[in-house]
Amino acid sequence: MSEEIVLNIEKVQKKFGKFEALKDITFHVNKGEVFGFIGPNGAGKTTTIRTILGIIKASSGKATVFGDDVWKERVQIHQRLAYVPGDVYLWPNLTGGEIIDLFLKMNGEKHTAKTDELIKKFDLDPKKKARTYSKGNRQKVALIAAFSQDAEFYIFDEPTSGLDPLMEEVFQSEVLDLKSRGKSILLSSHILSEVERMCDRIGIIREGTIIEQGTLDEMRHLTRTQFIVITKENAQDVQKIDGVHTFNVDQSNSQKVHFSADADAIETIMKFLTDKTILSIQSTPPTLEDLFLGYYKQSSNLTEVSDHEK
Amino acid sequence: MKNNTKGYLFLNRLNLRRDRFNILIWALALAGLMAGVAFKFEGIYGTPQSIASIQTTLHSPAMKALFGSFDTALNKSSDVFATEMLIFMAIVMIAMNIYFAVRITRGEEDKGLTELISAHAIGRGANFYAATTELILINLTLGILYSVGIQFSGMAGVTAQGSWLIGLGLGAMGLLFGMVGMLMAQLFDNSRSATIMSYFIFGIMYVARMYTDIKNPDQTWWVPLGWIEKIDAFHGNNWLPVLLMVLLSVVLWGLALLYNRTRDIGSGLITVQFGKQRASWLLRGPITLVERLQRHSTIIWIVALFILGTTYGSIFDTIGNILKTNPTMQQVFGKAAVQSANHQILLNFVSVISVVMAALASLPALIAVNKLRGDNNRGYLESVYAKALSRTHIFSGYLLNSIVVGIVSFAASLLGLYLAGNAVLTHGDLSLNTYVHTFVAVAPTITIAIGVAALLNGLAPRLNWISWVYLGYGFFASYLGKLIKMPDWSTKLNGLGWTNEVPLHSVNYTNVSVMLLITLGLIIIGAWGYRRRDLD
Ligand SMILES: Nc1ncnc2c1ncn2[C@@H]1O[C@H](COP(=O)(O)OP(=O)(O)OP(=O)(O)O)[C@@H](O)[C@H]1O
Ligand SMILES: [Mg+2]
Repeated sequence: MSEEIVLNIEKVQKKFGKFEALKDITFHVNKGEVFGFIGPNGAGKTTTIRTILGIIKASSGKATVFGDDVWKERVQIHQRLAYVPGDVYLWPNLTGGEIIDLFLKMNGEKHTAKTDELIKKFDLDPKKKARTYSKGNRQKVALIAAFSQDAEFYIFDEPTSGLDPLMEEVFQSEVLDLKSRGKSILLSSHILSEVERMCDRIGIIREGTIIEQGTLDEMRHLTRTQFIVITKENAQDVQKIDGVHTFNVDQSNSQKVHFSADADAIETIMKFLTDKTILSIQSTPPTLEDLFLGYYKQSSNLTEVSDHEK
Repeated sequence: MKNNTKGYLFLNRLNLRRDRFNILIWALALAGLMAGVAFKFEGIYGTPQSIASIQTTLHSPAMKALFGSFDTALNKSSDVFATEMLIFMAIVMIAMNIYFAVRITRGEEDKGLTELISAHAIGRGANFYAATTELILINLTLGILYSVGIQFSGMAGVTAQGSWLIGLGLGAMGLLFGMVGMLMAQLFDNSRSATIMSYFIFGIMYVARMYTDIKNPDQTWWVPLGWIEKIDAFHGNNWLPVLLMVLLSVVLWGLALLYNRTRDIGSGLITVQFGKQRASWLLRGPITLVERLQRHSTIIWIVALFILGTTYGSIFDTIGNILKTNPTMQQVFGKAAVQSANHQILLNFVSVISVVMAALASLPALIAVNKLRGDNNRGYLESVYAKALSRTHIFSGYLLNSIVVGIVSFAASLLGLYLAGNAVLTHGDLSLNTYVHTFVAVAPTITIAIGVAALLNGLAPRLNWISWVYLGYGFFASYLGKLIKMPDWSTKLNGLGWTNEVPLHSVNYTNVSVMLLITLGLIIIGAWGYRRRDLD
């Protein structure tokens, strides 16, 4: 089993002086999956990633990559790992091409045809000095180096925050390519559509704690679907079914009802509505946006979350 | 114009607020140093005998090289002060001004702060004017502090006018180099180059004035740095040099302004945009990376110190000729005695100069080690930390480059001394061995300074400025220690106090070994700390 888990973090805490940046981080990344790591600004994503990379030391808890301790065995781990930081800063006097090569050499790898292909795909001018690069271009340098590396585990910290939509697309296709080759990926991002499109499982972090993790479907399950239904017969009794919330009747049409429903109540609801002869039905699944905004905003009512987990 | 300066007052307050601790520390340190020496002087040079005892030393070429050349007769303690302290204080003022000038203009731009500020409703020139004002304020404040300090120092012969002349003269000299710094900050597109070039200009002037001071002091008027020697405080009280400094400052400021208007934010006049598409075979890890990043400055330092060495060497014929200061000696003691005395003078000169050159060679060495923190804070190392490199390896990249630039530039300065010295000497050449011994005795002082910096960067990077205090103290003690009669133990607080005045005396191998062991210990502790701490 341990061979199948690439990254395992258990109850990791990190204190900066008195400030607890990480309070309770527990999650794992399986081999061959894309794990999305999301949370509001300052939640602790970057701090978690820097702990995984052995740049900072966890105050307590256990973190392993490929089964090895992230602090003690960091050099061996880095041999099989690629990382793109959130803010890429490069030595102004070196060119992008030089930095890409240097990054590869530092991991004992070489500039290959794949590297050239990536430089072309990302549309980077490698002859330019890094001081002339925009934020997006600096990010491209780090991405090209990471993608041309033959690693087993890739860590991206908000890699697309400076990329234009076209480049974002290139990034996504490269990640999906890695995934198809069985690589494991940890992707921290604020762009939810990106996470939705690529990630197999997601962890949500807030104020230094992982408050939720699972597949997208599992998470969807936790929120309610919106319904607008017009029936031939009066269907107002639907509100008596367990799991129906925020029910109201349309003002202009008493046969038209609005409500939201928990995922596990949908079957019962549908049976009930069918009996009333459905004329029109409109259902809106929760958007990821709704889902996450819900999580991001919850401040003190963590209990509600654990209720969901049951 | 109105639009151009919009927000000037706001920026001014913001900048002063941001720099208040920095300014306070510099002002306290410099004014304290100046006042401290001034108050001590009456005790040291209060009697005619004590002045007489140093008179011959001060009139020797070696001392002229360090302190300048003056016509003033030395009768009172204030006379010694108003001459011999000027060059040293000017150097310190210049260092401070280059630091501030580059920091508040180009340094801010490097960090992207100017761009942020420019995006707000603030005129294009406001930042430039605010920086100018800050420099004027700093120099004026220090000038006034100096003046008041000297006036109330209790030295015999002090006059109000003379005190203000020295104080404001040093302030004006500071401002002049503040403007040099600002101009360089416009010409170059990064603060490191701007700083190096500012120091380069200072170095050229320092060497030029040393040369003219020894050969023909009247020609020192051609060197702006030498103007400070011409004020004749407490006697002629000549304000012309101060006026010249202010005028030249205005000219430099005008040039800087011109460049500031014509360039884009973040760019310089001298910018290289393109380079190689692929990394060379050499660029492959932390050591070669740091080497590559510092190659230009390393070469500049080595060449500059070599030139400094040759310049010192080129005055050997003047220095090593005791008959110039003591024409009757040959009749009294005979030719052999004169030659041996000349030889002693040269050895003494080499021992003094080599310590100064070692302090200078330590500068690039400390810059290199302290870059470990600088590069970390700029975020350059974030990707490197995730590579398959041990921390010891990263640490050693900075350390090795530091040791190389420190040691090689020191060796280059001795080589310059050797070649030029023997070229001008008609007889009584100093052997290569003399210089090798000097190297063996003095080079460990550089490695100790590096060790101090390595320790700090490894264990507590936020405190790495202490390495500058260490070096600054060593420079102060070896430059002024004899003049202000610092007690023996206080000069021995720094590695530079343990050289045993080689080649005047022979190498003390115990000192050398202990210094090397201390270096090793400091480095090991630093590396140990670096492996264990959070990199943030
Ligand atoms: N070295 C440090 N010292 C003190 N506090 C720190 C340090 N590093 C991070 N923090 C704090 O830890 C918290 C988490 O920061 P972190 O950068 O991990 O957030 P993040 O989730 O990556 O946010 P973002 O989405 O903005 O990138 C923040 O409050 C931050 O200020
Ligand atoms: Mg972050």
